[in-house]
Amino acid sequence: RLVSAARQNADNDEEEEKEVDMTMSLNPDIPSIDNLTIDGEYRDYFPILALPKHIQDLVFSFLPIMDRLALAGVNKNLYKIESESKYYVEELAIVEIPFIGASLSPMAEYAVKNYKHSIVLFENKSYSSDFIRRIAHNASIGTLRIIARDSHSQSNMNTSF
Amino acid sequence: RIYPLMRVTLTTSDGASVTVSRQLTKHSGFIEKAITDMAVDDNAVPLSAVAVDVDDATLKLVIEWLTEHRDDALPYPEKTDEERRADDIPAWDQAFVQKWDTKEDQQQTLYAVITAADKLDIKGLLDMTCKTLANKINGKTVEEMREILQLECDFTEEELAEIRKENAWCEN
Repeated sequence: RLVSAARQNADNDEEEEKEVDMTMSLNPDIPSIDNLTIDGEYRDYFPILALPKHIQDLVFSFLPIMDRLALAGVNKNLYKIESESKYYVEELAIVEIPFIGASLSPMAEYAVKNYKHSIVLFENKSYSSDFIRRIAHNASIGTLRIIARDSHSQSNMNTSF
Repeated sequence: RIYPLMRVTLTTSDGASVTVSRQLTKHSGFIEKAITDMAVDDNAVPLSAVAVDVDDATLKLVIEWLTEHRDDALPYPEKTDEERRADDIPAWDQAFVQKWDTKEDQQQTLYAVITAADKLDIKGLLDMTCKTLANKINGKTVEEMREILQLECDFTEEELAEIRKENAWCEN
Protein backbone atom coordinates (compact mmCIF):
# COMPACT_ATOMS: atom_id res chain seq x y z
CA ARG A 1 0.00 0.00 0.00
CA LEU A 2 2.88 2.31 0.77
CA VAL A 3 4.34 1.57 -2.61
CA SER A 4 1.14 2.29 -4.46
CA ALA A 5 0.75 5.57 -2.57
CA ALA A 6 4.32 6.45 -3.46
CA ARG A 7 3.68 5.47 -7.05
CA GLN A 8 0.69 7.76 -7.23
CA ASN A 9 2.82 10.59 -5.96
CA ALA A 10 5.62 9.95 -8.37
CA ASP A 11 4.99 11.27 -11.83
CA ASN A 12 5.82 9.41 -14.97
CA ASP A 13 9.44 10.42 -14.97
CA GLU A 14 11.35 7.16 -14.90
CA GLU A 15 14.26 8.52 -12.94
CA GLU A 16 12.02 9.68 -10.15
CA GLU A 17 10.13 6.41 -9.98
CA LYS A 18 13.36 4.50 -9.61
CA GLU A 19 14.35 6.71 -6.71
CA VAL A 20 11.04 6.12 -4.97
CA ASP A 21 11.34 2.36 -5.38
CA MET A 22 14.78 2.34 -3.82
CA THR A 23 13.66 4.17 -0.72
CA MET A 24 10.58 1.99 -0.33
CA SER A 25 12.31 -1.24 0.33
CA LEU A 26 15.35 -1.02 2.56
CA ASN A 27 15.71 -4.77 2.55
CA PRO A 28 15.11 -6.04 -0.99
CA ASP A 29 14.26 -9.50 0.36
CA ILE A 30 11.22 -8.24 2.20
CA PRO A 31 8.49 -7.86 -0.37
CA SER A 32 5.93 -5.15 0.14
CA ILE A 33 2.37 -6.19 0.85
CA ASP A 34 1.37 -4.51 -2.40
CA ASN A 35 1.02 -7.33 -4.87
CA LEU A 36 0.75 -5.19 -7.99
CA THR A 37 3.65 -5.23 -10.38
CA ILE A 38 4.74 -2.11 -12.25
CA ASP A 39 2.76 -3.17 -15.31
CA GLY A 40 -0.36 -3.73 -13.25
CA GLU A 41 -0.32 -7.52 -13.28
CA TYR A 42 -1.50 -9.34 -10.20
CA ARG A 43 0.87 -11.55 -8.34
CA ASP A 44 -0.30 -14.13 -5.88
CA TYR A 45 2.31 -14.31 -3.16
CA PHE A 46 2.76 -14.31 0.55
CA PRO A 47 5.33 -11.97 2.20
CA ILE A 48 6.74 -14.60 4.54
CA LEU A 49 9.88 -12.60 5.36
CA ALA A 50 7.76 -9.71 6.64
CA LEU A 51 6.39 -11.91 9.44
CA PRO A 52 7.97 -11.83 12.91
CA LYS A 53 10.53 -14.58 13.59
CA HIS A 54 8.37 -16.54 16.04
CA ILE A 55 5.57 -16.80 13.45
CA GLN A 56 8.04 -17.97 10.77
CA ASP A 57 9.19 -20.64 13.24
CA LEU A 58 5.57 -21.68 13.79
CA VAL A 59 4.96 -22.02 10.03
CA PHE A 60 8.18 -24.08 9.63
CA SER A 61 7.13 -26.36 12.49
CA PHE A 62 3.98 -27.36 10.60
CA LEU A 63 5.89 -28.42 7.46
CA PRO A 64 7.08 -31.96 6.70
CA ILE A 65 10.89 -32.33 6.68
CA MET A 66 11.27 -32.46 2.90
CA ASP A 67 9.22 -29.31 2.42
CA ARG A 68 11.18 -27.54 5.13
CA LEU A 69 14.46 -28.34 3.44
CA ALA A 70 13.05 -27.28 0.07
CA LEU A 71 11.93 -23.99 1.63
CA ALA A 72 15.44 -23.52 3.03
CA GLY A 73 16.73 -23.76 -0.55
CA VAL A 74 14.61 -20.81 -1.71
CA ASN A 75 17.01 -18.09 -0.60
CA LYS A 76 19.60 -17.13 2.01
CA ASN A 77 17.12 -15.60 4.44
CA LEU A 78 14.93 -18.69 4.54
CA TYR A 79 18.00 -20.94 4.74
CA LYS A 80 19.05 -19.12 7.89
CA ILE A 81 15.54 -19.13 9.40
CA GLU A 82 15.18 -22.85 8.69
CA SER A 83 18.53 -23.72 10.24
CA GLU A 84 17.52 -21.99 13.48
CA SER A 85 14.02 -23.37 13.63
CA LYS A 86 13.14 -26.49 15.59
CA TYR A 87 11.92 -29.81 14.14
CA TYR A 88 9.01 -31.61 15.73
CA VAL A 89 8.80 -35.24 14.68
CA GLU A 90 8.26 -38.35 16.76
CA GLU A 91 10.32 -40.76 14.76
CA LEU A 92 12.66 -40.59 11.83
CA ALA A 93 13.94 -43.57 9.90
CA ILE A 94 17.03 -43.48 7.72
CA VAL A 95 17.10 -46.47 5.40
CA GLU A 96 19.84 -47.53 3.03
CA ILE A 97 18.60 -49.61 0.13
CA PRO A 98 19.89 -50.94 -3.17
CA PHE A 99 18.95 -48.75 -6.09
CA ILE A 100 16.58 -50.60 -8.42
CA GLY A 101 15.76 -48.41 -11.36
CA ALA A 102 13.20 -45.74 -10.60
CA SER A 103 10.96 -47.90 -8.44
CA LEU A 104 11.21 -48.30 -4.71
CA SER A 105 12.59 -51.58 -3.46
CA PRO A 106 10.53 -53.60 -0.95
CA MET A 107 12.77 -52.30 1.80
CA ALA A 108 12.11 -48.69 0.92
CA GLU A 109 8.41 -49.40 0.66
CA TYR A 110 8.55 -50.95 4.10
CA ALA A 111 10.19 -47.85 5.51
CA VAL A 112 7.79 -45.48 3.79
CA LYS A 113 4.81 -47.52 4.99
CA ASN A 114 5.95 -47.94 8.56
CA TYR A 115 7.49 -44.61 9.36
CA LYS A 116 5.84 -41.32 8.74
CA HIS A 117 9.22 -39.71 8.27
CA SER A 118 11.74 -41.79 6.44
CA ILE A 119 14.83 -40.83 4.52
CA VAL A 120 15.83 -43.30 1.85
CA LEU A 121 19.47 -43.49 0.82
CA PHE A 122 20.50 -45.31 -2.32
CA GLU A 123 23.55 -47.50 -2.09
CA ASN A 124 25.28 -46.42 -5.23
CA LYS A 125 25.03 -42.71 -4.58
CA SER A 126 27.20 -40.74 -2.23
CA TYR A 127 25.64 -38.54 0.36
CA SER A 128 26.74 -35.80 2.61
CA SER A 129 25.94 -36.49 6.23
CA ASP A 130 25.31 -32.77 6.68
CA PHE A 131 21.58 -33.12 6.37
CA ILE A 132 21.46 -35.56 9.30
CA ARG A 133 23.46 -33.13 11.36
CA ARG A 134 21.18 -30.35 10.22
CA ILE A 135 18.03 -32.18 11.23
CA ALA A 136 19.52 -33.54 14.44
CA HIS A 137 20.71 -30.10 15.49
CA ASN A 138 17.20 -28.73 15.93
CA ALA A 139 15.23 -31.90 16.24
CA SER A 140 12.84 -33.05 18.88
CA ILE A 141 12.82 -36.72 17.92
CA GLY A 142 11.84 -39.63 20.12
CA THR A 143 13.52 -42.28 18.01
CA LEU A 144 15.97 -42.03 15.18
CA ARG A 145 15.94 -45.40 13.43
CA ILE A 146 18.79 -46.17 11.08
CA ILE A 147 18.35 -49.26 8.93
CA ALA A 148 21.42 -50.19 6.95
CA ARG A 149 21.06 -52.87 4.32
CA ASP A 150 24.12 -54.86 5.23
CA SER A 151 23.46 -55.07 8.90
CA HIS A 152 20.41 -57.18 9.53
CA SER A 153 19.96 -55.75 12.93
CA GLN A 154 18.37 -52.36 13.07
CA SER A 155 20.03 -49.77 15.17
CA ASN A 156 17.83 -47.47 17.11
CA MET A 157 19.07 -44.30 18.63
CA ASN A 158 16.94 -42.76 21.25
CA THR A 159 17.80 -39.16 21.22
CA SER A 160 17.27 -36.52 23.77
CA PHE A 161 17.73 -33.45 21.70
CA ARG B 1 -13.88 -15.37 37.01
CA ILE B 2 -15.52 -14.53 33.70
CA TYR B 3 -18.83 -12.75 33.49
CA PRO B 4 -20.31 -13.77 30.13
CA LEU B 5 -22.64 -10.79 30.00
CA MET B 6 -19.85 -8.31 30.48
CA ARG B 7 -19.02 -6.46 27.30
CA VAL B 8 -15.77 -4.94 26.06
CA THR B 9 -15.46 -2.10 23.57
CA LEU B 10 -12.55 -2.45 21.16
CA THR B 11 -11.26 0.53 19.20
CA THR B 12 -9.52 -0.32 15.94
CA SER B 13 -6.45 1.24 14.33
CA ASP B 14 -8.69 2.96 11.77
CA GLY B 15 -10.94 4.56 14.36
CA ALA B 16 -13.91 2.19 14.42
CA SER B 17 -15.23 0.69 17.64
CA VAL B 18 -16.84 -2.68 18.19
CA THR B 19 -18.46 -3.92 21.39
CA VAL B 20 -18.22 -7.63 22.02
CA SER B 21 -18.94 -10.05 24.83
CA ARG B 22 -16.25 -10.99 27.30
CA GLN B 23 -17.02 -14.56 26.29
CA LEU B 24 -15.17 -13.82 23.04
CA THR B 25 -12.39 -11.58 24.34
CA LYS B 26 -11.33 -14.07 27.00
CA HIS B 27 -9.60 -15.99 24.18
CA SER B 28 -7.36 -13.00 23.46
CA GLY B 29 -4.37 -12.83 25.80
CA PHE B 30 -3.82 -9.19 24.80
CA ILE B 31 -7.36 -8.01 25.61
CA GLU B 32 -7.52 -10.02 28.84
CA LYS B 33 -4.25 -8.45 29.99
CA ALA B 34 -5.53 -4.98 29.08
CA ILE B 35 -8.67 -5.56 31.17
CA THR B 36 -6.62 -6.89 34.09
CA ASP B 37 -4.23 -3.93 33.88
CA MET B 38 -7.19 -1.54 34.11
CA ALA B 39 -8.04 -3.11 37.44
CA VAL B 40 -11.68 -2.21 37.01
CA ASP B 41 -14.54 -3.89 38.76
CA ASP B 42 -15.24 -7.10 36.85
CA ASN B 43 -18.93 -6.22 36.92
CA ALA B 44 -18.43 -2.91 35.19
CA VAL B 45 -20.66 -2.80 32.08
CA PRO B 46 -19.38 -1.80 29.65
CA LEU B 47 -15.66 -1.51 30.22
CA SER B 48 -13.73 1.44 29.01
CA ALA B 49 -12.41 0.85 25.52
CA VAL B 50 -9.40 -1.33 24.76
CA ALA B 51 -7.37 -0.06 21.78
CA VAL B 52 -6.21 -2.78 19.40
CA ASP B 53 -3.63 -2.33 16.64
CA VAL B 54 -5.85 -4.10 14.08
CA ASP B 55 -8.00 -2.52 11.38
CA ASP B 56 -11.78 -2.76 11.37
CA ALA B 57 -12.08 -5.22 8.45
CA THR B 58 -9.56 -7.62 10.00
CA LEU B 59 -11.09 -7.32 13.47
CA LYS B 60 -14.49 -8.29 12.04
CA LEU B 61 -12.96 -11.54 10.74
CA VAL B 62 -11.25 -12.16 14.06
CA ILE B 63 -14.57 -11.67 15.86
CA GLU B 64 -16.31 -14.02 13.44
CA TRP B 65 -13.71 -16.70 14.24
CA LEU B 66 -13.93 -16.01 17.99
CA THR B 67 -17.73 -16.29 17.88
CA GLU B 68 -17.47 -19.79 16.40
CA HIS B 69 -14.72 -20.72 18.88
CA ARG B 70 -16.21 -19.03 21.98
CA ASP B 71 -16.56 -22.37 23.80
CA ASP B 72 -13.00 -23.56 23.07
CA ALA B 73 -11.19 -24.79 26.15
CA LEU B 74 -9.12 -22.29 28.09
CA PRO B 75 -6.25 -22.03 28.60
CA TYR B 76 -5.26 -23.01 25.05
CA PRO B 77 -3.26 -26.28 25.29
CA GLU B 78 0.47 -25.59 25.59
CA LYS B 79 2.42 -26.89 22.62
CA THR B 80 4.79 -29.67 23.50
CA ASP B 81 7.63 -31.25 21.57
CA GLU B 82 5.14 -33.60 19.97
CA GLU B 83 4.84 -33.91 16.27
CA ARG B 84 3.05 -31.07 14.55
CA ARG B 85 0.78 -31.36 11.59
CA ALA B 86 -1.10 -28.98 9.33
CA ASP B 87 -3.77 -31.32 7.97
CA ASP B 88 -6.08 -31.10 10.99
CA ILE B 89 -7.78 -27.74 10.36
CA PRO B 90 -11.47 -28.08 11.34
CA ALA B 91 -14.03 -27.91 8.52
CA TRP B 92 -15.60 -24.66 9.78
CA ASP B 93 -12.18 -22.96 9.86
CA GLN B 94 -11.35 -24.16 6.34
CA ALA B 95 -14.63 -22.77 5.00
CA PHE B 96 -14.05 -19.53 6.94
CA VAL B 97 -10.61 -19.05 5.33
CA GLN B 98 -11.89 -19.96 1.86
CA LYS B 99 -14.45 -17.12 2.03
CA TRP B 100 -11.73 -14.44 1.93
CA ASP B 101 -8.50 -16.19 0.93
CA THR B 102 -9.24 -15.88 -2.78
CA LYS B 103 -7.02 -15.30 -5.80
CA GLU B 104 -8.20 -11.68 -6.02
CA ASP B 105 -7.31 -11.10 -2.38
CA GLN B 106 -3.77 -12.37 -2.99
CA GLN B 107 -3.26 -13.50 0.57
CA GLN B 108 -3.26 -9.95 1.93
CA THR B 109 -6.11 -10.87 4.27
CA LEU B 110 -4.30 -14.02 5.39
CA TYR B 111 -1.28 -11.86 6.22
CA ALA B 112 -3.52 -9.39 8.10
CA VAL B 113 -5.30 -12.13 10.09
CA ILE B 114 -2.00 -13.86 11.02
CA THR B 115 -0.52 -10.61 12.33
CA ALA B 116 -3.79 -9.71 14.11
CA ALA B 117 -3.91 -13.13 15.83
CA ASP B 118 -0.32 -12.53 16.93
CA LYS B 119 -0.93 -9.00 18.25
CA LEU B 120 -4.13 -10.01 20.05
CA ASP B 121 -2.48 -13.21 21.30
CA ILE B 122 -5.20 -15.58 20.10
CA LYS B 123 -3.24 -18.84 19.95
CA GLY B 124 -5.90 -21.00 18.26
CA LEU B 125 -6.36 -18.53 15.42
CA LEU B 126 -2.60 -18.05 15.00
CA ASP B 127 -2.05 -21.83 14.78
CA MET B 128 -4.87 -22.26 12.28
CA THR B 129 -3.72 -19.45 9.98
CA CYS B 130 -0.06 -20.56 10.12
CA LYS B 131 -1.17 -24.09 9.20
CA THR B 132 -3.08 -22.58 6.27
CA LEU B 133 0.14 -20.88 5.13
CA ALA B 134 2.16 -24.09 5.63
CA ASN B 135 -0.37 -25.95 3.47
CA LYS B 136 0.21 -23.46 0.63
CA ILE B 137 3.95 -24.33 0.64
CA ASN B 138 3.61 -28.03 1.44
CA GLY B 139 4.39 -30.34 -1.50
CA LYS B 140 5.69 -27.59 -3.79
CA THR B 141 9.01 -27.57 -5.60
CA VAL B 142 11.65 -24.99 -4.70
CA GLU B 143 10.81 -23.11 -7.90
CA GLU B 144 7.09 -23.05 -7.04
CA MET B 145 7.94 -21.86 -3.53
CA ARG B 146 9.96 -18.98 -5.01
CA GLU B 147 6.92 -18.11 -7.10
CA ILE B 148 4.46 -18.23 -4.18
CA LEU B 149 6.72 -16.19 -1.90
CA GLN B 150 8.10 -13.96 -4.70
CA LEU B 151 11.67 -14.51 -3.58
CA GLU B 152 14.71 -14.60 -5.79
CA CYS B 153 17.40 -17.21 -5.46
CA ASP B 154 20.43 -15.38 -4.06
CA PHE B 155 22.76 -18.32 -3.52
CA THR B 156 26.06 -18.53 -5.35
CA GLU B 157 26.76 -21.53 -7.59
CA GLU B 158 28.99 -23.00 -4.87
CA GLU B 159 26.29 -22.61 -2.23
CA LEU B 160 23.70 -24.18 -4.51
CA ALA B 161 25.99 -27.16 -5.07
CA GLU B 162 26.38 -27.48 -1.31
CA ILE B 163 22.60 -27.42 -0.76
CA ARG B 164 22.08 -29.99 -3.50
CA LYS B 165 24.61 -32.23 -1.78
CA GLU B 166 22.85 -31.73 1.54
CA ASN B 167 19.45 -32.55 0.07
CA ALA B 168 20.57 -35.35 -2.24
CA TRP B 169 18.56 -37.89 -0.27
CA CYS B 170 15.23 -36.26 -1.10
CA GLU B 171 15.87 -35.88 -4.80
CA ASN B 172 15.46 -38.58 -7.38
